[in-house]
Amino acid sequence: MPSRRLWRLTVHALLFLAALVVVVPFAWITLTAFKERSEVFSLIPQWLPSHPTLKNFSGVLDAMPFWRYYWNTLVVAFGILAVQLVTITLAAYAFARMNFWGRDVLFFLLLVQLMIAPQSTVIQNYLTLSSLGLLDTRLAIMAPYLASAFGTFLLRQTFKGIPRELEEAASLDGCGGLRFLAYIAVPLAVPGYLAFGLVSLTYHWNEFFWPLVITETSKARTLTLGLGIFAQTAEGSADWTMLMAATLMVIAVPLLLFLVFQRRFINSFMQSGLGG
Amino acid sequence: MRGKAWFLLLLLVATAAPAWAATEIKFYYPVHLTGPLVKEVEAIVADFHKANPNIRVEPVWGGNYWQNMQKTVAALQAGTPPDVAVHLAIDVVTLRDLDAVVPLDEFVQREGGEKFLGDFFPGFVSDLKADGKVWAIPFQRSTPILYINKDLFRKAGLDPNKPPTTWDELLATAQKATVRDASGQATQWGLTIPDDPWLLMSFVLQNGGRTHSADFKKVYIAEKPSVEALQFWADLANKHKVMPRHRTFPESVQDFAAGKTAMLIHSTGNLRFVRDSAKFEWGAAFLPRHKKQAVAIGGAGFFIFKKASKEKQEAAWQFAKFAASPEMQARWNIGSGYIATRMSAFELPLMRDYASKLPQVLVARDQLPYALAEMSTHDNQKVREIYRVAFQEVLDEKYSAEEGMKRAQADMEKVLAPYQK
Amino acid sequence: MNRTVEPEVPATILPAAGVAGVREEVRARRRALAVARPYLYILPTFLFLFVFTHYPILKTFYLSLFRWNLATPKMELVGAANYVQAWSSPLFWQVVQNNVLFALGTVPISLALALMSALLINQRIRGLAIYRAALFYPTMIPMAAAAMIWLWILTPSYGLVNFYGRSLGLPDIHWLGHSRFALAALALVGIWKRVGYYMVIFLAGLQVIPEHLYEAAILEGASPWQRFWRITFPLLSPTTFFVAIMAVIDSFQAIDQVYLMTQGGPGNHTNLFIFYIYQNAFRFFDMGYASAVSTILFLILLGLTVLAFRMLHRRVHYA
Repeated sequence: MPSRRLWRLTVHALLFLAALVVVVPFAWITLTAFKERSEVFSLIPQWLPSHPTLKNFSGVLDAMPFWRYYWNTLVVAFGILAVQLVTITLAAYAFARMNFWGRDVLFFLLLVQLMIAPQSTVIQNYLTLSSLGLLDTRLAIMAPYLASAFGTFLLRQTFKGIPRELEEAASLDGCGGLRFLAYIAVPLAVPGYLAFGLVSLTYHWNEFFWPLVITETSKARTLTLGLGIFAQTAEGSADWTMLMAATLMVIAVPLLLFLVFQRRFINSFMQSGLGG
Repeated sequence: MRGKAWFLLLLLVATAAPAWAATEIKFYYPVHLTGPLVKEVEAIVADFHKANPNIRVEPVWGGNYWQNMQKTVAALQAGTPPDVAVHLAIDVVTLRDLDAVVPLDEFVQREGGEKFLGDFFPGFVSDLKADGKVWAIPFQRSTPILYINKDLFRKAGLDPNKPPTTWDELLATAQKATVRDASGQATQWGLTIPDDPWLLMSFVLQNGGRTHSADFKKVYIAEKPSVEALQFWADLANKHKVMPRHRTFPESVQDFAAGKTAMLIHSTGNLRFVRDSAKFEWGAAFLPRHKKQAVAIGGAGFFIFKKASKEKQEAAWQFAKFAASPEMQARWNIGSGYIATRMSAFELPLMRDYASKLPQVLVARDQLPYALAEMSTHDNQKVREIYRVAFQEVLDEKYSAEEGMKRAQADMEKVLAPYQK
Repeated sequence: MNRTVEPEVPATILPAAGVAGVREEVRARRRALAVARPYLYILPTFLFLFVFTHYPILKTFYLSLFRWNLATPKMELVGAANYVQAWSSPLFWQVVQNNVLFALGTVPISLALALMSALLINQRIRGLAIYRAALFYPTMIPMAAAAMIWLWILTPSYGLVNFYGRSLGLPDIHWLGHSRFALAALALVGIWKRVGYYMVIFLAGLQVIPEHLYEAAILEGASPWQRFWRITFPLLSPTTFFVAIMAVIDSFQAIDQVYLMTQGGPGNHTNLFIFYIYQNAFRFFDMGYASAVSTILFLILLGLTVLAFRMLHRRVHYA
């Protein structure tokens, strides 16, 4: 059926074009990162570096405490997730399977977190953390995210789906309360945890504004912020090749992980949309 | 038994330690240029440690100038200011409004008073003074200079050794050096200047204008010389079209390095970048004069904080003095392009050597006798932002120069109203 | 009624004497625990939630009633003065206008592009998964990195866009330094970064539309066009609304690209809400005024969310 084939070709062509537009910027910066500084000032586009060099990457390592930023980012992103897993599990379980006075009001108060822009609370959170003496610490970057309405909401859906009979049977076997939660409910919710975990990690790995406000030095700064500060510090010498090398170094690992576990990541983000 | 002896020894060490412990001071500093300058500052700190083993300086890089200032103010609010910090000269007022810093006269007196200060270029000291007191020791100081691409000058039939010296010549040169395509679009600019108030101020001063009052409570940007200077600038971009309207600090230097502009007016702090990046013959010159020869000084100084203990203040002074010494200043100048703040620094062999290889570095120094303070007021960040925005709006032809400055003047007066006591 | 049943305490543990009294006590304690348990479970969440979400909302409003800045270092109650200042400030209104323009520039385009790519990718054709990944990857990278990438691509003279713009005969445009184009350039970055994510949400919505509806429609001879408007579009509308609201909220939260690419310039043409708050709070140290603007933003976003829920209830057709 020629029209079917034509359609197939059209779909491929359209999507290829779209993908090209999205991917070209990435290709361009990758190539830039391997060029000599003077080469990028050419007025005729030159895609391939004429003398590929790794100088820019070593320059970045020289110019900013890259590994320190990396470590901070890991601690912050995984630290947040670790605490969140505990808080959301307990809260989701209570909201999904217990009846208690004021539950609906409390649930609404939880959802408030989804309804407001975290940025509109930045000033007061800054003042609070500063009065606690926590400015410029990784803990301060983590603090506002330790409870997650989104995670609680997502898990609550899963926990709600566990049949009553299962819980009753378990409790007859002496496996009630926390033990039921740990041995039965949590394992059943693994896909939910995975989805939440990937979204949470990505979000906090990428975050810029809050760390910008709350940190003062490279002691606690994360990668994205390090990149931003690096770019901002140039009174006169934004050095494109080095900047692009830095950008590439910041995004390399998450991007590689994405390429390998594409489907997992995309499905997680899909769920994040359905959850809201 | 032996275990016990060890334990006693340890105890002894532990209790004795405070007696040898170095005085630790926290040092906030900005670097407005990329990477290498952070290293330069760290090298100064390392050398200081070698010379003063009893003091430990903890250098904390706070970002660019205003980010660093923001860190300091935040730390002040939290009650944990640094002991010593490098801030812009124009932040003197804010730091005093916050009652954050101490005057340095006592220290200066001890070093020989006027004799000590006399070795600094006068312009660098005068804007760090207020109420007859010295509030900071100059560091990381700069002025704008005129960079020229000699190759492009030759191509345009201009004499590369005769940079423009007046506003009229600047315009004429820029016109000759601008290259346009068939449609009239400029493919190479005659001149590029970042659209920042600091650079506009130099033109205001050249036109015989003034920017602010000595008590930091008034601004004068709606006055005729200021409006005329802005008009001249706007004409370069909009009427004569020899200059792009908006360029940031980094963009404009990149354009120069890329050979996209024949002339560039920019901080001396960029000399190193230009030196390392330009693939053509380049020169440096004074900014052109109009009614007079003038230029606005930029840059910063070491402030010592009130909250620090006497001991820490003393250590902070030792550090500031060290960083401001002729040797360190010579090295700093070579490493960055920022002008060595001490006259004697230029007599050092190191500096002489460098200057003989790269005579451009002396331009900024020789221009210093014409250097004046840049605008400095209470609530400086707000006032400066109003200036910046109004300036850019005039360039975009949203308002005439006169109207734009009148509005900005009114807005600034609103900000300054609470200080009119 | 609490359904989590506790294991029985074996009776043998209890002493023989005064069994009834002790039982009563144990039961009471157990009951108390049963009542308290759900609260204990939600306690950690609510502790953090209260300190970092509820309290700041209230406190920000409280602070907005004070003058607290460099000129007035000691807080001073001024009532609505900060709100009046915002209301009468041309800059505040410019920020509102910028943000509305930014939303108008990003939301419809991202939505249309996302929906189109989702529809194409949802075709039963082999080899389309790779496009999904290609379109989605910008979601994975930080906005800060996206800002760097586009800063470089949009650079005047030797930026990629101007390279090819010139060869098409366009003038050299200084995208981020142009009063009219700067906001558009920021919108472009936002679209580039978010389309993939919205597309994936649309895909999720498409996948739950029952296949038999299409089969029936084909049997009845409906054209692809009719199938889209009669089946896909209505059934997808909850998703569309959800994505639209999310996109609008996103546009009001944009800050990273403003901070890194334009700093609000030239001449405040790209000054958006969050940047304005940041500028006033952390650059000018005008905490009272910044708190007032924060409160206004909070109310706008709350209004949008409530509106979204109401629209969702009223307008969305379920099959």
